[in-house]
Amino acid sequence: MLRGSVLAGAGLASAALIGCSSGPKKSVNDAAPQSASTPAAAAVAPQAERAGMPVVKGTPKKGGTFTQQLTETNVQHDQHTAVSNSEWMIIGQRALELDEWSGKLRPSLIESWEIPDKNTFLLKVRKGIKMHNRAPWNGRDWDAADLAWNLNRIAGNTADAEKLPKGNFQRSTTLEGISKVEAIDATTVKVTMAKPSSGFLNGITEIRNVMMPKEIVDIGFKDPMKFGGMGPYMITESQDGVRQTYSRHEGYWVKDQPYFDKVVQVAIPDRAASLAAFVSKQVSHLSSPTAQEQKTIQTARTDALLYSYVGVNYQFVMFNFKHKPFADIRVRKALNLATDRDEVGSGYHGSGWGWLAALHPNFPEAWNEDKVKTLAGWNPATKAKDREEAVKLLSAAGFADGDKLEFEIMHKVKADNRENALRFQAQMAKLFPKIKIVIKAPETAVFDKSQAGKDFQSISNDSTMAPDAVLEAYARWHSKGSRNYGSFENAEADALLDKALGELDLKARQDLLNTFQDKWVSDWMPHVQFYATPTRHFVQPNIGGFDKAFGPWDSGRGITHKTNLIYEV
Amino acid sequence: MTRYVLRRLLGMIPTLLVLLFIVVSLVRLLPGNVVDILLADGRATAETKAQLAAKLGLDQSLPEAYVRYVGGVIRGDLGSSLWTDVPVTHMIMSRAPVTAEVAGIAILVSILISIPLGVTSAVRQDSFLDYALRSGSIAGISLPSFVAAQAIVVLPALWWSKSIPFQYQTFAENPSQHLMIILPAAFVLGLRLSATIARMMRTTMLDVLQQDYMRTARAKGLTNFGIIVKHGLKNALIPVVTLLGLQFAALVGGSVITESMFALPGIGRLLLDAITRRDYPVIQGVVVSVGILVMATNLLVDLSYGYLDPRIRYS
Repeated sequence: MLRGSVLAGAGLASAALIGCSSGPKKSVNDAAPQSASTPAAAAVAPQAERAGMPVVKGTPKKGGTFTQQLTETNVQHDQHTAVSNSEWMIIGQRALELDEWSGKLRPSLIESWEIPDKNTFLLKVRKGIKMHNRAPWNGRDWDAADLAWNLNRIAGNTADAEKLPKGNFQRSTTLEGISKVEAIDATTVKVTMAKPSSGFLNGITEIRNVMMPKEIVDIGFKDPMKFGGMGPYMITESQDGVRQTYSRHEGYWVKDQPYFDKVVQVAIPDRAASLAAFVSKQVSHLSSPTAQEQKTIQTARTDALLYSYVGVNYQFVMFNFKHKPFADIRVRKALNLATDRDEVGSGYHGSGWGWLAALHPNFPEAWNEDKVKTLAGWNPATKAKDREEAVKLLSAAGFADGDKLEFEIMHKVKADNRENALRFQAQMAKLFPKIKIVIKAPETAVFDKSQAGKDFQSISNDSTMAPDAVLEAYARWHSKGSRNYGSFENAEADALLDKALGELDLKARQDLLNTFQDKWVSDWMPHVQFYATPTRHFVQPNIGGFDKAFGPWDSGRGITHKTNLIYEV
Repeated sequence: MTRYVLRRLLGMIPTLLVLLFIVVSLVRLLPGNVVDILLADGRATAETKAQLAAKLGLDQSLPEAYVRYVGGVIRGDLGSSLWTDVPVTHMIMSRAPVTAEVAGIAILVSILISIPLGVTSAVRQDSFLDYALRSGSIAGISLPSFVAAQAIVVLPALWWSKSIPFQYQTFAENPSQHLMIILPAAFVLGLRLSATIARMMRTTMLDVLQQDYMRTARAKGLTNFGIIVKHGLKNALIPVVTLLGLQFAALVGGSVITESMFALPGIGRLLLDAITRRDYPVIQGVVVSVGILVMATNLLVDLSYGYLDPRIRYS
């Protein structure tokens, strides 16, 4: 689900960067081939061609209030150890970002970089980045010493000094491989890697890797009102369980930004109440509406803007290979062939979801929709034939008509995970009348524990993709992968991924990934992949900038970190 | 009276000790673990998890945890949140006024609705009005709080694009906005309670109306209103007051849903969030505080009997 830890083992793909001497244009993402039908390719298309993205016309005006609904006010206040978001997402900023539509690296607090040798990164901090004008910073420059401190801390290198368990630094794997970080002058940070890592720069872009000032550890993380950052807004009010309010940082380093005078994050825990708050114009934005909510809102508020695109999440059923039937490829293949993805995806979302085989379609290296729709099990035109084959396969595996094939599907208390599981269960029951699939929905804490402990038979879940195809595949399906909860182990898969991670030549890397995707579909099938999830936002009609600020690579972490890019008209 | 109160207070101590034991044990029996949630995004090893568990004091045995917790409660220290490190007493004190206000108004609303309805229903026994009021109270009991809350919050939004304000403000900050949130929430809580009390009021009033002293009062030529209010109501109130006391705990339970729907920063939401996050000290603190409150309420209810019925003596 979370991007951070998927970058574990990133180092092996590092060489893709070697030889790129400097600048923001040189990265794996830049050089990788892009399929014409992927959202990444669509990024270069004119805005008008970005289907599902209304464009609000009019001049951005300074002023106004953007009111964001959250289910609760920020609970954890140390962004480097927080599981999720904190107020730092808005009072701080990431050092590097990804372009929302192309996924390419975009300079932010780091203005440029150089890679003088395969184990060294020289990061140039932008000049004139001003801290908030409050004590003890009083508008000082945020500089290379701050960046170095942040990178060290995110990597977990300050854990001992702070007397914190290293595991508390949740995103340490995003910067894995760092040997030494030092500010060599006011604007330059030298990062020495223990081993080459092409994932390093992408790791910095992780949405929760937000930069803070180095003094913050001494100030402490208990009282948000003592925080100061370099981000677009300053915190001016913090009421636990009620709201947090932010005012414009007049010294923000991006000219003319931010636009709003104020951003208010209001805690509305109930979903129906959140919907009512949007319809009654008390909040500016509503994220992830279900199909039913979408209809309700569009009936009540015909002027509300709906932004929709294939985001960074994907939905699946993951098999646990410790559950004996799933160790048999015939069973996994039968279940895959029997699944009607169109019915699952359209059933919950209607339209707007993406076809998905092994890899998320946003990856330039992933098979595109045209190709995926020709695969057995995915192809709607051959579904009847595929299902006949599924019946034969399951029978050959000793489960004729599903007899004696029993398993549980555990899902999080999330509507999409639940409905996908139910549709999958119904499809299987129709084709295999004697199959016994039990659906369980433990609460989140129990689900997390069972998943982490690999104590399940199968899981209906969704996941946020890593910023790199190889890293994503490695995390999911390498025997050492940090997200390989289903204990899938295959020597050939390991070898392919190890090789792809270390492959310098992008064409060769693509070939390896093609082989991987081939094998995944024909020989492994460790998941039943359903679809790439559509991301949807409802926005009040007087707010512009969403078409630029949000896109397939906006990381699926809400909108907090983009409030500097949107405005009233 | 004083001896009675002291004896009751002393009697609370073993109850409290048992409550503390149950609370400390039960939170450890909850499936799921705060360490897994706190490290959900890290590639935490068993060693790291053990390290964090030790730091959070979760490696203690049950007896050790119990003794420490009891010691803390005696000192007024309910521990600190595992997530924010904020003292639990501080968290409860900051959230309690909202819940107390909503619950207080809810009780007031329920009394104002239920007692006149219950008395009217009893006085007009078996009339059309009685049937209508009884049907209404059954409907009120049957209607879950979250349905009433949803109706109040969502329907006006869908029909007229209006709803209650969702940004809570204290009365001092913004009196009108404060009341526009608090009153509907209290009404939702009080509605169900009033239905229950109205039924109880009707039953006890019917019983009282048949008593000899009521007949005597009528024979003396007192007005019907005077008889009911002066002689009937006071005597019929004892079971109602008992019920109100018992319903108090249910009100706090109901506040979990109401506070979520109305975005109120109260104890109910604090408890719900703490359970979701497995924030054991907060769960324990809230449950213990509510438990103490319920015990205190029961004592007050018992003491009120003497006022309502002078024949009752405390010894």
